[in-house]
Order: sequence, then structure tokens, then C-alpha cells
Amino acid sequence: MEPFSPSPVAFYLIALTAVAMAVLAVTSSNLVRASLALAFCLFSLAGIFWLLGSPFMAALQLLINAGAIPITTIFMVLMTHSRFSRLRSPLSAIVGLLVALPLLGASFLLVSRATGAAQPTPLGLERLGVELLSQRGATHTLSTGETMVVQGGTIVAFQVAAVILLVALVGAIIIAFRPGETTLRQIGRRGFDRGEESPRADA
Amino acid sequence: MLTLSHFLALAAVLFAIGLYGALTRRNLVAVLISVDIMLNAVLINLVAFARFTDNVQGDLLALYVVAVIAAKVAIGLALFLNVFRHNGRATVEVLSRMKQ
Repeated sequence: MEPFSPSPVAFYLIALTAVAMAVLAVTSSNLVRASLALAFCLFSLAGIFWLLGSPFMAALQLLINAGAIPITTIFMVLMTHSRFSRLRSPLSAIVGLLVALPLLGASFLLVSRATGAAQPTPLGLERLGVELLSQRGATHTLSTGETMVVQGGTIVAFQVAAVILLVALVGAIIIAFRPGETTLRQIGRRGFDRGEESPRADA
Repeated sequence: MLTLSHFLALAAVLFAIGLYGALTRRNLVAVLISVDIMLNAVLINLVAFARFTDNVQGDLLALYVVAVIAAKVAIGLALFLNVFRHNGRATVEVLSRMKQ
């Protein structure tokens, strides 16, 4: 496909939203609010992928990173009774800035020297699918009639990623499961089924 | 006119924000949120390099990184739940006591 020129106005608006929401997500003491800010941040990053000419990545970002991840994070916040969070110590903000700011400066030095094409080339869905699900070196005829040679060919890695997700799912159940207890006890509400108040205060 | 450097600069800013959060937050879920932001900065880098050099392997790697992010969040939920059950709270101090 032909290179195209992304709109700078859209980029700066999306980048501003993403950075502001990321700052809110790492500084807000209310973790439910931080999870919501994380959702907005990841949602706006889908726009960045769209601007880069990778619509499948934008859709994936909306489905997984902007949809499933913040919801799971809110589950975590509520199940571990951690609605509010503080700094590790009064000094840790200074330590964090001392580590993050030099890294940011060094990154900017390198980023300003990055070389690439003048404009991004969009990636069609059909080509991405063929690259993902074929073997390297295979030839394929696209629906447009042109013939392409597969460069990526990550069908084996695709299967491995599927197994990794399955193992993570089963592993999460095994780690979190406590046999022989009621549902409320599974989430840590001891004494709840005897009519007592939960002994655990918010952490 | 947007160049590769614009996208890489955005990713660098997001990575630094995430690193600051991962170093300063006390609650484990808040640390996980910060790590999520860092991983998404890496995703931007991968896709930006892939699209500005028209190399499809960066996009493929980004897809696998998304799968790893999903697995990380699922395992993190289970682990933090266990930490909370054993200690009554899920903070980094609880985990640093494990080495004693």
C-alpha cells in the first residue's frame, strides 16, 4: 500500500490525552479512578495505532488493552480491598523522578536521531493475516491479484501464544482457588457467612 | 508533518511516566497499572518502527506482546489475591518481607 501522511492535529490531541491520563493513572491515590484513567489512556493509544496505519492493532488495543485490562484491574482493586494507595515513602517521589527524568532525557537524545521513512506505510488486514498464519518463504496471492512472499511466517509462535494464554488462565485459577470454601471466603470475606462483620479494614 | 521521532517521543514520555509510578507506588495493583503503561509504550515503539520501515515483523511482535500482557494481568490478579489473603493487604512491603 502507498505511504500516507497522518494528521498532526489528531496526533497532538491524542498524545496530550494519553499523557494526561497516564499521569493521572500513576499519581491518583484513588485506585478506581486510576484504573479509569488507565482505560482512557489505553483507549487513546488505539488512535495512535490507527494514525500509524495499523487498523488491526487499533482494534486489538480497543478489545484487549482498553476493554479487558482495566476491567480486570478494577476486579483486582476491589478484591484486594485496595481502593486507596499512597507513596512508598515521602522520599520515593524524589527517587522516582531521579530515575525517570534522566531516562526520559536519554531517550529524547536517541529519539531525535531516529531515522525511518518520511511517512508510514499502512498495513492491510489481509497481508497481516497471511504473515501471521503462514510459514516463512511461502508465496500467497492476495485478493487484489498481486503475489506476496511471506516474510514473518509466525504460525508456530501463534500456536505458542495460544498455549501461553491457556496456561495463564489455568494457572490463575489454580493459584487463586481455595478448595472447600464458600464463594465469599474465596474473595477473603472471612466470617461473613456466620453473620459477622468482615474483620479486614481497607488496606 | 509527523515523523518517526514524534511517535517515539510519545512512547518515551509514557515509559518514563510508567517507570515513575512503578518505583513510587505502594499498592501492588497500582504498580501493575504503571507496568501496563510501560508495556503500551513499548507497543507504540514496535508498531511505529514497523510502519515507518514497512517491516511486518514489528507488527507481528506487537501482537504477541498483547498476548503476554493479557497473561500477565490474569496471573497478577491471582497472585495479588493470594498476597492479600495471607497478609490482609497487597502492598510492596509485604512482598519485600518475603526475603527475610
